[in-house]
Amino acid sequence: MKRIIIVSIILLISALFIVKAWTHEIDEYGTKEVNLVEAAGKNVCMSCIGLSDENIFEKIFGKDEEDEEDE
Amino acid sequence: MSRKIIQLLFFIVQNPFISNFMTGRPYNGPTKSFCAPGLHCYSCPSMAFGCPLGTIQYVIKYATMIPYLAIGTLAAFGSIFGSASCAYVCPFGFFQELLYSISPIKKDSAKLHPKFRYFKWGNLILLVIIVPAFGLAQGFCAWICPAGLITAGIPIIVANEGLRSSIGVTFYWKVALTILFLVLIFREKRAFCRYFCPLGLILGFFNRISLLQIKLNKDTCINCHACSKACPMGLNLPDEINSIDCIKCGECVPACPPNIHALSRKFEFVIPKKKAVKTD
Repeated sequence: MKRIIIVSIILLISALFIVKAWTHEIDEYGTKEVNLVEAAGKNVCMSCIGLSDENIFEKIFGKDEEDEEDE
Repeated sequence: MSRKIIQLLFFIVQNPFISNFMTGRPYNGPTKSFCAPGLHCYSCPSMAFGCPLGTIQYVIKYATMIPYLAIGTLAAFGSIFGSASCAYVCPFGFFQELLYSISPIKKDSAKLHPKFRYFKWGNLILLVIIVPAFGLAQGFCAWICPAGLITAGIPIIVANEGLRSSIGVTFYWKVALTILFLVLIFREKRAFCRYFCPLGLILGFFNRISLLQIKLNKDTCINCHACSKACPMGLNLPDEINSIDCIKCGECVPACPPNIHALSRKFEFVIPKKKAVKTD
């Protein structure tokens, strides 16, 4: 089996993936995947820099009723 | 051209906006729509490109879809070069090698148990894919990535006084973890790549089929393991040549004794047939 054939197939699929990311609209507002990538890259990512204390337990188990009452 | 020079050139190409460290704002030009095949933080003020790992997690978390751009980019590089971009392009890999070269506690023979390499798999499957897929967080970036803290977190907090009030548990957790990683990096060459980097793992999936291959001539190899001692990934060579953990840096090739020349690195376009075993 020629390695070049396998690699060519992967390169073709990669090219299709990249074109899809640039052209395919993912919602009704015309957002494309590349717009998401730009949004991520052009702003300070609070999560990446460790400033976003996302409450994972709250996300998984929901808010306690007592906490909601306190609020 | 030596690998260090190539690493330096790629480092400069990827980080042309050094002055942005003064303002603590990331560059936001058109090149941020492309991913470079190395571990860096897209929030790093000087970085010109997007981070493939950050992009994968962001797209999975916020759009719950396959991250076509990052996967397409990594597959394209991986199918041609395997994980050689770890050895030549990755800024964090270069940073680790620089730290190791000046380390007072470095130990060439230091190696954690090979089972520690499973941390990479855990990071990839759990933190890069599953945690973002459930919309919980960008798991690897948020809780593990030392590149994010060193090149983006700390410089941005230093430059932006207003963000300092946002420092919380996650930040202290990342600082503690990064200190641990730095100790390991000072002790072992490329320690983070060896045991924790999910990006190297993704690129490593292509190592067996990529065009760039390290070739071993089994007829001339005398199993002296000089290649193993030279390997920055601490692999058991020559058995693990082109394995998923190999970064195809080629350091093993000149380490082979000059009269043996059992190793070479070249582009191969055909998968060689396995030699038939002789039976009497």
